[in-house]
Amino acid sequence: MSPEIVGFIAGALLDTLYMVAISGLIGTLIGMPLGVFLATSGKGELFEAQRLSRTLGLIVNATRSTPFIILVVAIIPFTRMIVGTAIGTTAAIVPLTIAAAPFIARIVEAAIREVDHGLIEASVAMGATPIQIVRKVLLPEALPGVTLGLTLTAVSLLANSAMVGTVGGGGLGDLAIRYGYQRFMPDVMATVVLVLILLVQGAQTLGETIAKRVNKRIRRL
Amino acid sequence: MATLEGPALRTQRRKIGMIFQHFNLLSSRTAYANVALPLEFAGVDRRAIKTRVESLLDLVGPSDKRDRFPVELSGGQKQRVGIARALATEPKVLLSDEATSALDPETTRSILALLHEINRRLGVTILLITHEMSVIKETCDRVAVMESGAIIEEGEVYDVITLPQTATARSFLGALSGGEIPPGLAARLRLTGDGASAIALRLKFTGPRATEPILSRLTRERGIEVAVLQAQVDEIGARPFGSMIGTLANSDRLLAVAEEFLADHGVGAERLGYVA
Repeated sequence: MSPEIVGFIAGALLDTLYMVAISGLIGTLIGMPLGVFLATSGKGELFEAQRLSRTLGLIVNATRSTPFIILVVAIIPFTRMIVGTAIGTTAAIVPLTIAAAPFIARIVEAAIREVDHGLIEASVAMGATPIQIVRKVLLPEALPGVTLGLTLTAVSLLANSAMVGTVGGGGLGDLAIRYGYQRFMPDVMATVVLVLILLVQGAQTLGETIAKRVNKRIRRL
Repeated sequence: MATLEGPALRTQRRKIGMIFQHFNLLSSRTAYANVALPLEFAGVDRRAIKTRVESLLDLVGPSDKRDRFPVELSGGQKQRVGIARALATEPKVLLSDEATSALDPETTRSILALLHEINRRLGVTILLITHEMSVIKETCDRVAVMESGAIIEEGEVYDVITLPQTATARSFLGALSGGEIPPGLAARLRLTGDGASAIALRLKFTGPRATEPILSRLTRERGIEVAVLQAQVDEIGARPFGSMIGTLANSDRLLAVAEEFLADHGVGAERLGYVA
């Protein structure tokens, strides 16, 4: 491989990391509160608001059921409105974020629903406000599940980021298609796949390590 | 209280501590941080929390476990942390919702002893919800029996156990006070006295005279002999009581004499029937 190709791969790796990091961050900022709300807005729950809860649930499902490649194209006008262009790495962050947020919301929702209901009962009896219950009880108790869920999100964002090449998003997936496939360069293809495997492995290991550390439900000897 | 809402309700709730059957401790917090939680909810500053939590952990016992997570504690230790947490906001009333039902008998005893001590030393009223009748007998002063959400009987533990008024109270507390008809006798009980050899009576000895030798006096002074089929003598809060099922010869005259004698000596007598 020529040094030029190695440079391409390094650049594409940075593009991919940039897209995954920013969309993961913004997706978490949107998805986390959304997930908390979905988990606590049912009948008789802390922030009871059934109609809003159902509406948001529908939107989340709709987004989750749209194949990512179609989502990318479908929201081009929205992307243009936000970043001024629909083409390029930064523009690709918009559809990635929109796909990640509902995914994170569902993961956070599931993790919070796993928290023992007795803890909410006890907190209410202690005179806690609903916001205090979320901050001091639900989120800390759901942290191991949320951490694993965010790891899952990172991996799926990595997979999605490979598709944004269609709108000039750049990154590793784009490089593999344009050089590895269209220019018949199997060594580029193999290297990109290897880098992706290492990335996923790294993300998974890191996520599991953190989740294990924050999980106090397991007795360590 | 039932009409309160929002902040007013939360302020009231802080005046009531609560402990639970399954402890409901946060698995992500140490014993110390669990006890600190209600104080954090109430907006108490960090330094005040530290003094308060440390004195509470000293009071309930496991102060060397302060940095342990709930998973590293035994059931009894968890409940002690739960009690410390319930006392953190200095409540006037402590609600114990089946707090010993998940514990073994020995741990139950030590937790009850702790609750007793809290009741006496801190003057906290403890409302104990339980289906373990022995717990009531050992620790409580007053008891209320509930059925389908309503209180059906209420009074001093001694009175309710020795003289239950309702069927539910009898079936729940009857075993504690004795006086249950042995199955062999129950099979032989008849309603009519024709051809029967004996009359069965249930006797209740309560109050200060419960320990007097009333039956032997009945034999000596009135010449009436009683065969004991079932008997139990016990104490509730250092007050003795006894219950007994016995038979005497089938004679209306003897029965009348015996009943009068027993009533004069403060013994409750209830005719159960005739024994064939």
